[in-house]
Amino acid sequence: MSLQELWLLLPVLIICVGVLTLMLQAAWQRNNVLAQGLTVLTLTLALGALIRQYPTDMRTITLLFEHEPIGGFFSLLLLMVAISVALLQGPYMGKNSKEVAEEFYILLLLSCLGSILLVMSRHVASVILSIELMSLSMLAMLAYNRERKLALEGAMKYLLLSGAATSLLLLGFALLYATSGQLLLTQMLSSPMQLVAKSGFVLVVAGLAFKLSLVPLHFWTPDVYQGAPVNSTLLLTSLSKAAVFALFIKLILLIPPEFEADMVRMLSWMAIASMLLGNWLALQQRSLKRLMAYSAIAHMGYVLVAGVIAMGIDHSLVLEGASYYLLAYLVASILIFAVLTLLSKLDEQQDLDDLPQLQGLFWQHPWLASVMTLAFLSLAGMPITIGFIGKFYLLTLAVKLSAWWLVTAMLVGSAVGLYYYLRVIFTLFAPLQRDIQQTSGAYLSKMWIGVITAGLLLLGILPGLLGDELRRILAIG
Amino acid sequence: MEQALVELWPILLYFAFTLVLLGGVMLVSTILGPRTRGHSTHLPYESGILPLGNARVKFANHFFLYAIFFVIFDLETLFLFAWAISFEQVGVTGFIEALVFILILLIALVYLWRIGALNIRKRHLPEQN
Repeated sequence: MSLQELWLLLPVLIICVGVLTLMLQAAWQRNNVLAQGLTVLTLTLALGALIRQYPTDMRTITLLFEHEPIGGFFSLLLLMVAISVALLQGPYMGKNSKEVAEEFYILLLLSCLGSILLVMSRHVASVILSIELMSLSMLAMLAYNRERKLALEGAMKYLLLSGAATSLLLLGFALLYATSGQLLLTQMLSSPMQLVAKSGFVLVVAGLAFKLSLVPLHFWTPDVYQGAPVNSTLLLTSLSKAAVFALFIKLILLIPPEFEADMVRMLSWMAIASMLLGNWLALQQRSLKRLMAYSAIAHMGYVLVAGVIAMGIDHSLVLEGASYYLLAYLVASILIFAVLTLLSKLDEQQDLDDLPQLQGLFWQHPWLASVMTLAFLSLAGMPITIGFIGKFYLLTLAVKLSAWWLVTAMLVGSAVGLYYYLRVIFTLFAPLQRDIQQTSGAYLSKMWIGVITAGLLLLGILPGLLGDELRRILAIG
Repeated sequence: MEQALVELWPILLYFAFTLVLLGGVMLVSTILGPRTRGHSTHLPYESGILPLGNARVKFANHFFLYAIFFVIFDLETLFLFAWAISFEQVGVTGFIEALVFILILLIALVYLWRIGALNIRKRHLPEQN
């Protein structure tokens, strides 16, 4: 490894140093505020380092990793998510929590590290290692309050099922390796594919589809989302999905042409089923976290549409569309979960989760309710929000490819989605029933939420602001 | 289909072998296995002591501590062994990398020591303020 490569790895190294510093701090003197400050500082430094040497072309870093624009863009998104979680954890935990604070930040940095490495991977070993680093540290965060029964149950389910999914992934890679004899992703998929290799690839797709909670493998999602502390749910719904999707799209673009038709058929059905089933199951949910889980299933279906189209037409436009849609989804999820986090406490047995509990939020906390309303409108794809532009991108692409089944499912899904998103919004504006406590103080977190909300509106009103730049940022076309 | 059979027959064969082997072992052990029906045949074997109470008790063994100690002490030896036998080839770079590796493990050890993991009589949980 040369110094040049080490320099390219700088964001990753900064996070590693951050983890070690936090461990020393936990050993030396426990302090919530100091730990949070160190975490935010580490993530900001990593963000700065990433922007400073933002990749313009592909460069390999040893055998295992690569430094390229698409990965760079996704790393930016991942760091944004991690910073949000770190900022929200302080108020969520409060000053005198029963649980320890430092370990959460250590785990947060570790899973952020795993996700960034996953996005940079180009070798099977690094893919498996980083995907496990990400999900194992997330697992501990899912059960961070040990006294919540539902959290333990959810974490246990996630442990078992995610273990099964990883073994599928490993088996798939093993079959691909058995036929190609290569471990680098590009070389592994470029050799002609026999039936064994094809089934291997399908297993790999299944393993990743589990992490993305696409339809035949979505069963774990609502339980885990509902059980976990709301801040960890935010991490689960944004960090792991974004990182795994980056890998997913990378793999899909590598599929040899003779296998494309089969994969298009399979992935189309998965996308259609996710969009319809996710939206349909969300209709009657009273629990907001379950609603968000089903909505995540549906939205991953939408993003998968981009993946399907990617195999049909030119890749650059699709990458742009998928990145934009994912950005829109992440922004909206961060905002919704941030509001829930500010209204809940880690130490309590339950988060604020039930829809009737939120009734009349607008009349008591108008700002939080407005932020949540905007986020839900964005998820529903209403104009002047970023979600509209994201959906517009995807629909344009699907129409261009004349994938009418996909277009139909997207439209039906969006219409159904509108119903339950609006139901939440109506609840927020209904007459106030009971007092809702919000965390006082926490100005930094609230300012950060404000910045993200501003971004949501700004990019919804002036999509060109990012749209024109995105091609340059992703270095495509 | 035919092509599938041609390509996949080793896996099918392996699958069939596994089934036959498992079935065979179970069959043979039911036929040949000794059968005795004493009054304490079905008691669990506990080195000659009669079992006392229910086995389904909850106890915390803090397995993660064993895992971390295993990584710190055993895996360290493993990786350092690999480094030691290639000491000449990897040179200064290897030396620095080994140093970083040991430093990381050392920090983990300090952390464990401070949360009281080395203290046998203490509940192995991080100190609560």
